[in-house]
Amino acid sequence: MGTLREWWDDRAGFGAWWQSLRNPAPSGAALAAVIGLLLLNQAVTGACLAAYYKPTVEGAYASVELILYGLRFGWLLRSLHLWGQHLLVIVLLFAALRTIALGTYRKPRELTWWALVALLFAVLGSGQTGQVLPLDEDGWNGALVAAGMGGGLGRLVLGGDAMSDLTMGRFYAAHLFFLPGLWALLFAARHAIEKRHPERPPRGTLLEATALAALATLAALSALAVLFPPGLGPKGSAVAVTAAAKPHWYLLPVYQGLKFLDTTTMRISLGAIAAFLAALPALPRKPALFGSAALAGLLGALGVMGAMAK
Amino acid sequence: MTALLLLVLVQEAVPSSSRCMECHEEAASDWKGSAHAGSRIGCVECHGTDRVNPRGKTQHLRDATFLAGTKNANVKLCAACHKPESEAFRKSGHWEDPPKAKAPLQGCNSCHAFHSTAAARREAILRESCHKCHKEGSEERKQGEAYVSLMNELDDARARLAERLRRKTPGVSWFEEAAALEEADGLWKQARVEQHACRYAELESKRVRPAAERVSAAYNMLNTREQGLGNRIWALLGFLALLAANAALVWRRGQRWRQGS
Repeated sequence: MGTLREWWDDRAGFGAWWQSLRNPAPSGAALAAVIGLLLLNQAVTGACLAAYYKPTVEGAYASVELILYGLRFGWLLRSLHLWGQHLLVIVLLFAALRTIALGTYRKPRELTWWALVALLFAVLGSGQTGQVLPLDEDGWNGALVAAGMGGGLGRLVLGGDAMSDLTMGRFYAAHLFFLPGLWALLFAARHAIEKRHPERPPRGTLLEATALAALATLAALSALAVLFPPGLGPKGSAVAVTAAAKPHWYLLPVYQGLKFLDTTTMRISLGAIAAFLAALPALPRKPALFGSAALAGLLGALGVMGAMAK
Repeated sequence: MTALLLLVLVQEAVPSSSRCMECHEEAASDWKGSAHAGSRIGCVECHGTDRVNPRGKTQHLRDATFLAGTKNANVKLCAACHKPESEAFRKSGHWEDPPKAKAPLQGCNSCHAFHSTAAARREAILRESCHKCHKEGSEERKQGEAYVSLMNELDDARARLAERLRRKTPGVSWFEEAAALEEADGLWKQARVEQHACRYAELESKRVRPAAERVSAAYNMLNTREQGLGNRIWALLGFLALLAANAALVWRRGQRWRQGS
């Protein structure tokens, strides 16, 4: 046993790694552990789901039905995947609001801030593309709304004028490869840059900060996934897109907004929010603080709109 | 020649059901709201067309295309659409061709109301048609009553299973049970056709009982699987306990390290 440990230590540097866990935890270590664990959960459960999922108009719904009702522990895989997505959005929103409140988006942490905002948008994109895949009524409608929001690019999103296997291929590839690739890159970049310009001095031990945060996340995720496994809505089709079809909670403000605004205005509004978030570090402190208050107000308004859409 | 010309001129073709209903008000009122009305099966679809002479004593001229629904004509008339039922009926002891004048069963309309065609009620047919001849204690009556009672039970069981299948729970497989319901529905449909031959004992053993057994087994299996979900909670609690133990270990290790440094 001792020999094996020495061998492993010699080849992989396990001992040095274990020793490094004694070091004080740098700022953002716990958050990185939470986000990292959730991203890993998405990757692992997503890969397992992909083994059974069929990205075609004809086969998608039935394959998700099979995962959910026919495959042993398929319900748990899907539940972990969906709850992982909800928790990721919540954690990233919380991290963004916290950064705004503390003003830690300012010089020299602009890159960390941009990486966080980009990660949030990539995760929202993953949620949207993922919701389309089962092709239930929500998914079918989601694809059409996404294509509508794409304006001139709508045909590119759909791969034609209507939903087809090409559409499914596009959403499948975006959900499985492009967006996860993007968030893996953004997560690694943020983590690396965070070390260079920490938010606050290190404290505690790295082991406690990361392991306890990850264990708490795992506990919350598993409890939610087991106690509240999400079901599957009615099968979607070109003739039966109902008004009851809705996006995930975090896109409800957009859903509600589209009832009053045309898609161009909605595109401009979403672009303005993204531009404001990106420009935040460049704004002088006071206007930025004022902007933060405005953003908080906007988020509140979006929350109310989302609640109305329920 | 003039008289013949006059006769042709006053005759009027009746191609549409709405024209029939102008005179046959009672039949029209029965027909409205019926299953046939819902399927757009009007007068001419069953009775064909005829010419009428509004001024004559006998208004219908009874063309070859006209078919009044009387006696065994109505079996032939209904058979245009309801062929399997009609063929089953011909196998029954009630079928006589041509029917005797005083035969108790004259055809389809001895049990089914023609114009107000609604879904036939088994009890009503049993009471109002079968019981007229098959007296208390007779074997036919016993078999008929047992069949009706079993079919009613099967209806309830099928509805219960269909309702249960609509309430899908993640992790609870329902594919085999849905197939069982489909199979039972097939047997039920066959029974509904073959019951017109009135061979109830045979129907009961070949159709109704097998269907009822499949439905009942499927319903019980779904419930058993649903009850198995309780294990999930215990597994979750075990997993959470494992996480808590790990957290305690991490905490202790951290404390030791802090004390050591």
